[in-house]
Amino acid sequence: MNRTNIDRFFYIFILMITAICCSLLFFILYGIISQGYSSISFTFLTSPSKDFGTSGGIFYQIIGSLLMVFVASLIALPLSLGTVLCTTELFPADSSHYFTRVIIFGLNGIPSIIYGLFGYIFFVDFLKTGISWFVGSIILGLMIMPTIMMSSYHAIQAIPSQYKESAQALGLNTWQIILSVILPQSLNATLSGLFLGLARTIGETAPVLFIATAFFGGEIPTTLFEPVASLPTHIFNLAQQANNPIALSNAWGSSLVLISIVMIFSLSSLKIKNL
Amino acid sequence: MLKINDFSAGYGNTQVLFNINLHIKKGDILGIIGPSGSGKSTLLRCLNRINEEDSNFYQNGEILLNGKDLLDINTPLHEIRKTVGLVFQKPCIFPCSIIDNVLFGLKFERNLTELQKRKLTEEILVDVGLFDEVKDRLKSSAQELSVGQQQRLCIARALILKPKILLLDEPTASLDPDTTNNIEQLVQSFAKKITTVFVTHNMEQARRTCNRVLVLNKGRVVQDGTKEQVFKAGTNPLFSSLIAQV
Repeated sequence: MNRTNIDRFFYIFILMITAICCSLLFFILYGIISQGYSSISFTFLTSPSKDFGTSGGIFYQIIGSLLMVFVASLIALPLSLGTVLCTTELFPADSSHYFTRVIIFGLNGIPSIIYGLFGYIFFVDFLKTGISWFVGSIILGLMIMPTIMMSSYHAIQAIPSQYKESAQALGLNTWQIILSVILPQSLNATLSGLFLGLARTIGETAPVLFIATAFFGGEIPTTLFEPVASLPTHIFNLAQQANNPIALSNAWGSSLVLISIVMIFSLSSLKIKNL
Repeated sequence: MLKINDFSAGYGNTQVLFNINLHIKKGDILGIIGPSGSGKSTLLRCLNRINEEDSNFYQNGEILLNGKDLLDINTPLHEIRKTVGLVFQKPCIFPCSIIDNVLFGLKFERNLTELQKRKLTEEILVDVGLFDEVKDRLKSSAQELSVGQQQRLCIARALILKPKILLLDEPTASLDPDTTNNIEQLVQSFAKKITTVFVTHNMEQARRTCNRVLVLNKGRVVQDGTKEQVFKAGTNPLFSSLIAQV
């Protein structure tokens, strides 16, 4: 086989792999859109669910999910940035870089059910918080952290050293350099990591199932320690009533809404990264 | 004004500077020349302690500015760096507007109003001969400027902090002859107000621009004096061989 044929073979091979991956994604999306499209209406999106989800809409589920990930991002963003800045700017020794990488990969590798179990044992059982959307936000925040940390760590490492050196030469101290050089230069990557993390966690069911969400009912919470309705738990509930065609149709509709939110977060992540 | 007494420095196991003694008077334009690796840039960077960002760096001796020890660990580094400005060989422009670049060192200065900052910017741009070229686009990206304009912007950025000493590390190394000439004239124009230390590889440039010349070789001072003294002494064989390497 000559070089031209080898090149052609690899070209076709890579095209095939790409086509398989894209087909899988389109197949899943097509399935959800075709099955869920008929359930989507203004009423479905803006009214509360009734009769264990077999009638009404998913308004509180959308609000509950967005509330949890919004507060999760408020918790995760400063903690992640603080850890990364501490490593790269305040203690830039090799050992602290190694320590951060261990934390990032360690947290990223933990299965989501273990996060849920930790939340249940520590918050619900030990601290007696009860089922609480805020505990769910803390756990989801922990899950987002590795993605944010990874993005901002690489972005900060990629800042040209001349920027930092020039700022030092102008008499700026460490915090002033962080505020005027490091954060502005790594902001896009950090926010991109945040949205990618949100896209992942808004669909997580296992970590919030027993610590944060109400299986049925649930309204907009007025305190930190109340359960909320969430889209993943709602879909889980409806899927358990699969012999009821209305419940199944609502499950597809809810899945389509969830996938749409995930896509919005993912596309926002890509858009911000390329700004 | 600036006295360097028995100063040595290096990185890890490598000593770069050996027992440097130097006295720079106010208004001097001191040119530091020498072959590559002779310690010119290291000496320059020691004067505003930017080398200390390298954890392997060590130094001992004394650097006194108006009697105050610059190496005193109790003196905040950012104060020293505002007093002793440094311009690098390659212009480093921050990804922001021309005006924001000029004001970068004053970004956290709360005693100045926006109007005062704007006035300062205009004055300093006039001083470095850049105002007419950029007056209509002060809020445009500074990265659109030519390399020569960027280097003058870097000088303006250092001068706006009103340093007592300005350090220039081969500031014309990447510039064309016309722009080099502009920078040289610029350095001479503010010599009355600021003491300048200038590292260069270009002997003719040292002769044209500086009134004092320090020749370094392998981290040691080989010649130090007025440019007339140094270049006259250049008739000796050691100096001539060094000049050939510069």
